[in-house]
Amino acid sequence: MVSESTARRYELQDPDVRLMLEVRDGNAAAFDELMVRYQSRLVTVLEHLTGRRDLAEDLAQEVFLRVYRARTRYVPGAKFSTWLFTIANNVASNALRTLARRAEVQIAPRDPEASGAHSLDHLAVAASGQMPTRQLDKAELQAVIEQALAALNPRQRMAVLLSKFEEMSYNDIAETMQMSPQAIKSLLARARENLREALEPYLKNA
Amino acid sequence: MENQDHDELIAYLDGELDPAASQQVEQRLKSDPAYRQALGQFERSWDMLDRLPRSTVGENFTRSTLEMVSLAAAEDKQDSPRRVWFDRRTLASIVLVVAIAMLLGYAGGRAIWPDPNRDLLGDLPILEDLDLYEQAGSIDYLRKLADTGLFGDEAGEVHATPGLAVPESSADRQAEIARKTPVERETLLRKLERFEMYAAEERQRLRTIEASLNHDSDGKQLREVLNRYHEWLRTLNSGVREELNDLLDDDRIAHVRQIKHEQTERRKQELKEAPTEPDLLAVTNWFQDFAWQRREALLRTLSDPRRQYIEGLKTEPQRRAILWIWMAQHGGPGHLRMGQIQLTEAELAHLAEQLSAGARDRLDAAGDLPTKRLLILQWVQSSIHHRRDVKALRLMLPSVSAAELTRFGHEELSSAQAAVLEKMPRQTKFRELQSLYFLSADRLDSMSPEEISSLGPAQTRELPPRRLRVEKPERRP
Repeated sequence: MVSESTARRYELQDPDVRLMLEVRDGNAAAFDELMVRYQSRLVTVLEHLTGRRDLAEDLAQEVFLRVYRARTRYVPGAKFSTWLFTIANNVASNALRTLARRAEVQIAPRDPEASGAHSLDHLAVAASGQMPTRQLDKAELQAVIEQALAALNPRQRMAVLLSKFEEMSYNDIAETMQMSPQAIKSLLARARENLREALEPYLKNA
Repeated sequence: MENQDHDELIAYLDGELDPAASQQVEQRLKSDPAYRQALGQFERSWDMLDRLPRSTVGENFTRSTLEMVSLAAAEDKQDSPRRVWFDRRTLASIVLVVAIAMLLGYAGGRAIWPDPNRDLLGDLPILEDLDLYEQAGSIDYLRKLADTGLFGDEAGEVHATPGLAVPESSADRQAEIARKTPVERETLLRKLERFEMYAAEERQRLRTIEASLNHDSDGKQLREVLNRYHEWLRTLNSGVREELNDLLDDDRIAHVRQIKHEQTERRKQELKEAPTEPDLLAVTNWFQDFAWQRREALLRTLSDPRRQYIEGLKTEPQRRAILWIWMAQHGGPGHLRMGQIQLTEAELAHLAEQLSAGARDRLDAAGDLPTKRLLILQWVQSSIHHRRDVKALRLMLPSVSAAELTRFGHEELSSAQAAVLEKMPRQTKFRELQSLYFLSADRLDSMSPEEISSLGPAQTRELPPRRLRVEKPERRP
């Protein structure tokens, strides 16, 4: 239950909360505006989370639909972006679970061959696995980074994406992922440790 | 080093430690080289993630999402919806199977699914022009609309292509799809997704409209009316469009007539209130500052050599380059969108200071921020058109050295783009290269063909950009 003073505070501080309140009151243009503001950001996070553009767009549409359906019950209890990405996290987690259970398709890591990139194993890494044998070009380096991200577990990946792309604080990530800030601190530390290990041989390329 | 140490170090990097804990980390960094090395590695590996591409979605996504939401709104009102909403999982499965089939190629696709593309191939003529047919209502409605004269020749040029020639045989259609770029195939898939969402009778209605437009004696004329009507609908917001769709033919035509009348009156009023020349100049200068403030983010979207080149320019050409890139990334000079731009109070105040009292009053009277933003956008568009009228728009394009343009032409253009450029007269080629230079390749990659072609003067933009035709990098031993 959100207190009246909390709701008022978010309304005053966050222009997007004010837009969402307009959506609640039946202003369709406000919804258009919110969509335009957030659609690319949402698809960016979801695309890197799932490793697939088409799925990311489907999920983003589902998120906006849920936002719209929730409008009449909307009470600001967080920043709008936190609320939106909480819904996105729930929608994406469900989708990833369902797809993994059905094993319909391989979700992240992306299929490197399909994207024209190479897998980490093939990326000119010396037998020692420590240093690449040659300088990587831009596309190869990007593929390495994508795969390092894809190798994280979904929760680590989501936390990293919210931190990197949405520049969220630990508290906001915690709220979005319904975990404690302390748990987010550990989760991000493990994720960053994994990223460092995967990317260390390529740091010079960067 | 313990995990706990790294948790603290990373939280320190993220600015999440309290002052006392930060001080502890800093003390240790001074005395512990391994700790310092770990900090550097965490920092650099984190910075590498900046190379991950940011997605941008096109108008198709926005449109189909808003349609979906409109449908939800209609369901909420318990109106009788004209469309059947598939369970999203079913829909996702259909799209997934078709997507996989397309990726595997049609032969492979048929092996796992008897004929996955039958609908796609059969309804290809409708899918190519689905946006149009969805707005047509019925062929009778189009005839009534034609009789009003509201969308006749005098209503303006039609930008859409009249009647795409889609081949008759399945094999030719397959070949046609295979020739499409990935972006075009993606667009087609999205349309198929929409088409599949309709009930059978609705799909039949669309097929009937398509057949009449192609075969009836007045089909050609009706198609032109439909094209103009479609262009006009795009000037309305989704709420009004939805309202129109809910009306019966005659009421809808009366409503269309009324909206057009109001638009004309509004335009007359706007012309009366058009900003003066000094105000237009003030808006142009302010707009340059506005883009300049956002230069860091803009430059990040460019390839390294292009970014470095622009950073190396003197201030004035650099300001013009930044302005051009900003415009290119927000819809092109003629179709700017400022909806997603966070306009600060300080920027607003800065603009107001430079305007005449009359223009300032109009800005104040606009009320809330979104409306003010819309008004400023109108002024910016007017200032661009004003400059275009005096043939000065081209002057806004900053110059690029021949050496840098040559490098850009060799390294960053696709072979298809280069082939088209090769055939152009020298001067046109130069201008074309120059305007392509100020567009971000990443932005081009994520745009639909319609969006790309709406960008403006560069003719080669509609060709597939380089990244969509990824060749595998050569493997060296």
